Amino acid sequence: MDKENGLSGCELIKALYQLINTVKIHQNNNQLVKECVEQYRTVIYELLQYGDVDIQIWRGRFHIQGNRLRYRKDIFHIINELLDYFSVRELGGLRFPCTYQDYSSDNLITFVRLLNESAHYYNPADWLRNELEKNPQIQVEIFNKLKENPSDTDIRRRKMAKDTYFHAVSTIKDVADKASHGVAGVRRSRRLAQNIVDLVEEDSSLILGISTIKDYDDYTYTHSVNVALLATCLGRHIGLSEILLEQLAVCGLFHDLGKVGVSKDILHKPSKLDNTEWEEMQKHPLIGVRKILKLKAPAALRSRVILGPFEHHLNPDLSGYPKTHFIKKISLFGKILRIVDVYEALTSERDYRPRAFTPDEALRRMWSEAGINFDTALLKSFIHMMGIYPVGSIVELDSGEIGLVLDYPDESDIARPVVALLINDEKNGLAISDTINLTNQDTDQGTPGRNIVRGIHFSKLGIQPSRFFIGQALLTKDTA
Amino acid sequence: MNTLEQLLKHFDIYLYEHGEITIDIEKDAIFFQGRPIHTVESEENSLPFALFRDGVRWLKFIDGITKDELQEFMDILIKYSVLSDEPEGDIAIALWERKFTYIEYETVDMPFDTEYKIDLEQTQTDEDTISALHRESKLSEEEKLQDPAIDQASIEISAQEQAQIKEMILIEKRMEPTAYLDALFDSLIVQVEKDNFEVILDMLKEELQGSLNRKDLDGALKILNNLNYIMEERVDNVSWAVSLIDNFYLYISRPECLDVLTNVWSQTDISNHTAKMQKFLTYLKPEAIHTLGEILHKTPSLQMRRLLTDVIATLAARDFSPLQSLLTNPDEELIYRLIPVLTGLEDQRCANILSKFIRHKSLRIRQEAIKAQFHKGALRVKDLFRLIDDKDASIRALVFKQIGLSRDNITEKFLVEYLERPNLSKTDSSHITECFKALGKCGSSFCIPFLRRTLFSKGWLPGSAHSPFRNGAAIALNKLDTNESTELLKKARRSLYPGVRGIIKRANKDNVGS
Repeated sequence: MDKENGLSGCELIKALYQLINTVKIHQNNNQLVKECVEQYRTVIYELLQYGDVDIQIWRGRFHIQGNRLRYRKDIFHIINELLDYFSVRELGGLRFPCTYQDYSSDNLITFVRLLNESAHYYNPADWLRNELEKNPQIQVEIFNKLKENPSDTDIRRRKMAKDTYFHAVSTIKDVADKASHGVAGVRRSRRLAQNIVDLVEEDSSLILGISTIKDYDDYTYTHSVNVALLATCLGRHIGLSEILLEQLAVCGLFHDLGKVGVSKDILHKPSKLDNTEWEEMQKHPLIGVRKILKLKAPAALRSRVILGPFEHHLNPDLSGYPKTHFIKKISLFGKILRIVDVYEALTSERDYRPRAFTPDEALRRMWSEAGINFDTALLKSFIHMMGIYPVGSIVELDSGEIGLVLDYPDESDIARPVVALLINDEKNGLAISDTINLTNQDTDQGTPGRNIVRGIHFSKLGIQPSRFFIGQALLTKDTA
Repeated sequence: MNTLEQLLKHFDIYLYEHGEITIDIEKDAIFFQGRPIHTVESEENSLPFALFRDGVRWLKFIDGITKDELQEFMDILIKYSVLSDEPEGDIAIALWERKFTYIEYETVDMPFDTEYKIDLEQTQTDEDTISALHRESKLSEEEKLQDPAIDQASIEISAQEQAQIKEMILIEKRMEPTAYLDALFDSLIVQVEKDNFEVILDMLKEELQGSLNRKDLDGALKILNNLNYIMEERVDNVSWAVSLIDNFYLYISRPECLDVLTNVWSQTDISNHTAKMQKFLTYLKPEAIHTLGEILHKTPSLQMRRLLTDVIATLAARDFSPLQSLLTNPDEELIYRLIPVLTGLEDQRCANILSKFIRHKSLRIRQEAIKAQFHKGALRVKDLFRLIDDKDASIRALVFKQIGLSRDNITEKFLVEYLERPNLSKTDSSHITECFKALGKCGSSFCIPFLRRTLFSKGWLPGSAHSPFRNGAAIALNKLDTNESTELLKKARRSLYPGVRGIIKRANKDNVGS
């Protein structure tokens, strides 16, 4: 799929929807049918350049050629209808192989007619498969509906996310140490950054879920990784290219490299810093610049990796620190890091604060400072990306249930996510009992179902939300 | 057909029939369809090992692959075949960046020596966690957040904001690799640690070199202008910072830094960059004169020569010693090109050096030195005496020409003195005539009595009409063109002596002729 903006994926879904509906009503020689099938062929052929065109459903979301489809507001109803359409036919997806190049109009129309008709049969997927065998000229494969147990792909992805996170923490430590004493290469950091970009492209909710990891013993390092993950997600959300995303991820990993040199007494001081301590703290972007200069990086990367970390404590009006004489305008990376850095810090327990903010509280606080401390347009994008109750938040519903926010399938309604309900397990820990989509109507009453009442900081439950995203199987495999 | 084209040809034939070629990678071998097609005994510098080292486990080449993609792929393999101790990239990273259309691959993660671990398992409690949560006391007033809930309508991104974001992305995409320099300057101006200051300056040296290599004068000037500003800002309070910046300028004035000017700039048309180039060069230390002199020596560009002449003069005005040292170079062409530099300098040593060059064995140098001395008004009288009698006619002609360029009392007095010398040969009439011509051009009312005496004395002696002195005096009076000289000429025209009248007539003709 076109990795730049995923527009082709949306066009494919729209074209499929239109074709399905026109074929239902009209004959093959109808002008509208011909136009719809031509449109579908155009989009298919465009996507075939990148490989097999897979349309798959996983966790209530369409994935096109392995990438989760981002929904535009205008096609949300189409998505919902198609999800139902596939569900009724017990289909998990379709594949149009790239090795086959002759998707003729007649074959496609025949295929869609069979697709439509399959709903009438007891085992629609099997019936459809049989019909396709009778029509070998139709080179489309079908997948059965996937069970909620994770597929191999899903397990691989979660393992990669976990490994990438843990390796990233190790790498920052290693680089910080080397940069203090000599030159440090960026090979490992770039590989990790590229993994982060790939994971964000495939499943940004997973990455947002993992970015909730908090480790107060290694706070600076886990904070840096979380900032890198959040920054990359935001960068993708606003449409940065993969090359820029890689650079942004590296930027995030190293944005607090300078803090490694700041005294822990200052970093963890429970009360307000005095003037000397505050001056010391304000030096860390400058210390970071010096350490980053010791990184052996290509020129273009080095430029970005210095600028973003230098600027990440500057406000849009250039107030903040460090004082600038030469910088007249903050770079995009600097603005992105500012937002995600503050969010990550607000949601962490800090010695100088009575409590950590819940994710929704953090967004509320940041929104109250839009335009002053944060670029307004980018902050809006961030809130849209995260949702009012960000992925990974623990929330209380009006039903009294406690849930974990997993995803926002309807990106136009950022207050009604998919929530995993949490219940006590036999060991007085927590487990997922069910998954509900808060956008679904309560059909009896005609009103929305459960609502979120408040966010709860996960520390009150003694859990790390990320464990639910990584998965129990992978956790027990990796002994702590 | 070169190797790449041959390879592509073989690829095309196979891919046309089979659609793809997949090879599997082990650290000492490459496999195709399960069979080894390339094995190595030693891992060092081997292709399989390089691929395996960077985590590449298989490569797939797909039908449609182009020569350009294949070439780029090969370039990647060559570039990263051997990695340094702290590398900036590897094969896998480059493949990811490049996003080939017809080449697919799979990589595995790099092995890590140290493993970060964190316990993500939840804390077990003795009681029902959720019930405990419901029972917990409400947040205190202090803990309650005062910030209002976010209204979704208020966070709708407007069309203008969409455009702003697009613009930010475009700017970021087009960002110059040197954009980070502002951050370096900001770091430098507040830097209180000497070590850190030096690290940043080292980076700036590298960037300056890069700017010059790229012919990016704006970039180079930005660095120097800002450093200058920083030096001025910190001059009062941090002497080591000023000293380090000063050393920076010294460093960039060295030959190893300025060689780029020879290599990159000397053949370039600099007509569009003259002002910037001049500004850049005047930041250099006088020590740069040696290198700039060499460039001046070798460059065929007239524009570059003029530029360098001005710059060397500016630098020499700060410290004359490097130029003085350079002027001891035996290379005549170099000396010749450096003389115009001396013309513009006030330093007394210049006049001394030029005096020396007036006696140089090279005629070109002598001529240039004479012109320079005249320009400076520094030609000594004794030199003038000597030069007027120089054995080289071109030198004499040059001297007379220079003398005649403007009215000058000193030269006038000298000439009168010279012409009144009793041992002056009267047979060298053209020389005497030239002396009188020069006197006429540079003289004033001071020389009138001499000219009167010369014109009118012994007028009745036979043969005296053809005296070069008398002829010369008439010419000089013509050239003087003052009221006094005109009156004298009128008087001479009315002279009773035909010899005198004849001289005036001839002088008039000469004057018209010249």
